[in-house]
Amino acid sequence: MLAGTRWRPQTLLIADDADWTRDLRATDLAIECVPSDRLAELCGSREHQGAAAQMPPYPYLDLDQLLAQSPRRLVVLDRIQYANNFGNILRTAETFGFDGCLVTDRGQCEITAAIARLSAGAIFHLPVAVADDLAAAVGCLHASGMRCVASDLTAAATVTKASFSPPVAIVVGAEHDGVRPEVAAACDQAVLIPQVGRTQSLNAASAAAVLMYEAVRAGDSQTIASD
Amino acid sequence: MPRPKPSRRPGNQGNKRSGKRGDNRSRPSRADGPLELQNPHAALVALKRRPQDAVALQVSGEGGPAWNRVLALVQEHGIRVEEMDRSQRDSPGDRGGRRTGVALAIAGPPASKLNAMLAETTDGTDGGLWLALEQVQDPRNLGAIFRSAAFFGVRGVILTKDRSASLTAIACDTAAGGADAIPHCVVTNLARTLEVAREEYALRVVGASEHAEEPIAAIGRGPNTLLVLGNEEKGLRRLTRERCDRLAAIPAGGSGLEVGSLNVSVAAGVLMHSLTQGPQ
Repeated sequence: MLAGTRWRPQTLLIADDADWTRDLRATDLAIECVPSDRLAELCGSREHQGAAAQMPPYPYLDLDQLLAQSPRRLVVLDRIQYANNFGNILRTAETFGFDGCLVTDRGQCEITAAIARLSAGAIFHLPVAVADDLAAAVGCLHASGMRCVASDLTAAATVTKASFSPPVAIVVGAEHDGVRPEVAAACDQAVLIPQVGRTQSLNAASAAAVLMYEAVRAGDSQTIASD
Repeated sequence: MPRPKPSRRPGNQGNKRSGKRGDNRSRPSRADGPLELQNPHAALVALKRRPQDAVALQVSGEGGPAWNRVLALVQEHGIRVEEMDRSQRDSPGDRGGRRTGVALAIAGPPASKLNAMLAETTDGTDGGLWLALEQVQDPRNLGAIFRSAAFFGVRGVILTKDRSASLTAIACDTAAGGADAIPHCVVTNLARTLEVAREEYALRVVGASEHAEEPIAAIGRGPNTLLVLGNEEKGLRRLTRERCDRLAAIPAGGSGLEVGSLNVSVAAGVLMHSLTQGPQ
């Protein structure tokens, strides 16, 4: 899981009674053997499978570094607070072949060991950039030629009628109050997912997934059309 | 396991009510006594629909403004308010780390029987959507699916009995009211259930499988559809897949695919979106 990632462990801790980890010893990572009980204590669980990685803080990209990779599809998060949602959004973005994620540095769930688990490892493959002024950053995405589409429950356009032709950035807002007005104002379009039932709103991770799905479909149909 | 709090009011524990209504509503998800709902949105929907099932409002601290509407209903229905100190409510390990200042103790959402549920929710119109969940094991996934299902207007949810999460407090809180907004039933034999749904209620049975060749967008809206979703790790079982009229996948698009699959509740949301809003 950790091969080829930018986020490398400081030390790999291996239980002294684990045998499958023998082949890990050939890597260039610093490795420390610890008693199994100590590992359980560090992991807060006995289900550690014999190894744990001590990680440095996540090496966020800045916006320029992200744009230098010429992303075709990005997901932009305006203050996602819950680890479950953040992890799920990263997992979905990676599964759908998105090229990266942009977050803001205030009110946003941090990248921790829990996020590594909740994202099913997607955090090791999907680059995440951070910007302190998200509205300005979305403005930069727009200026670089990306179409920026915000999820908004009050939007006039529905997601099925919107254009998601790449390069495109999907902008999703906080669980309770959505995308902030200044961030939405920097976007090209706001869209809503039509509600069929009588109740409720959609969870942020589910809403993000529907938009990302539509973005992938748009890319597909474009490919087919151009063939 | 959340441990139910003992009620000081005998005869109102929800799980003892089965005979009263004289119908088919007492089923496994209700057998564990009252749930403590800590999400005010879940509590509000439950209380609006079944005030008679409430046991007490448990208060051990500040609940925040979202509880005000719940409190109004609690007072309107004369439901007991219990002042508790926090240590009493939050015994270690009891709640899996969940703690808020206020909780509504109320019986779990009542399960219907399969035939009753399908008969009541098929009204002769097309375009309806039902869900069947085969051994979805994480209560948060279950709750998240109910929440999305309520949003997409799903008419009923079929749950499997064995190796499956039931509508616990965590599931209901995650569903944010969805678990009470949609009827559900619990079945032991899903393969047989799918046959009943197809033959007796004319539902089109669509199984979600990441290995399917057909993209969900190709299925489209149209006839009444039962969408079948599998376990987090294993997906649908072979026997279940064979009982589906069609199998559909969510095309993953890009080239990343190191992780390779969506969380089941996320996948459910995308599939429901596609089946309710996609092309006909």
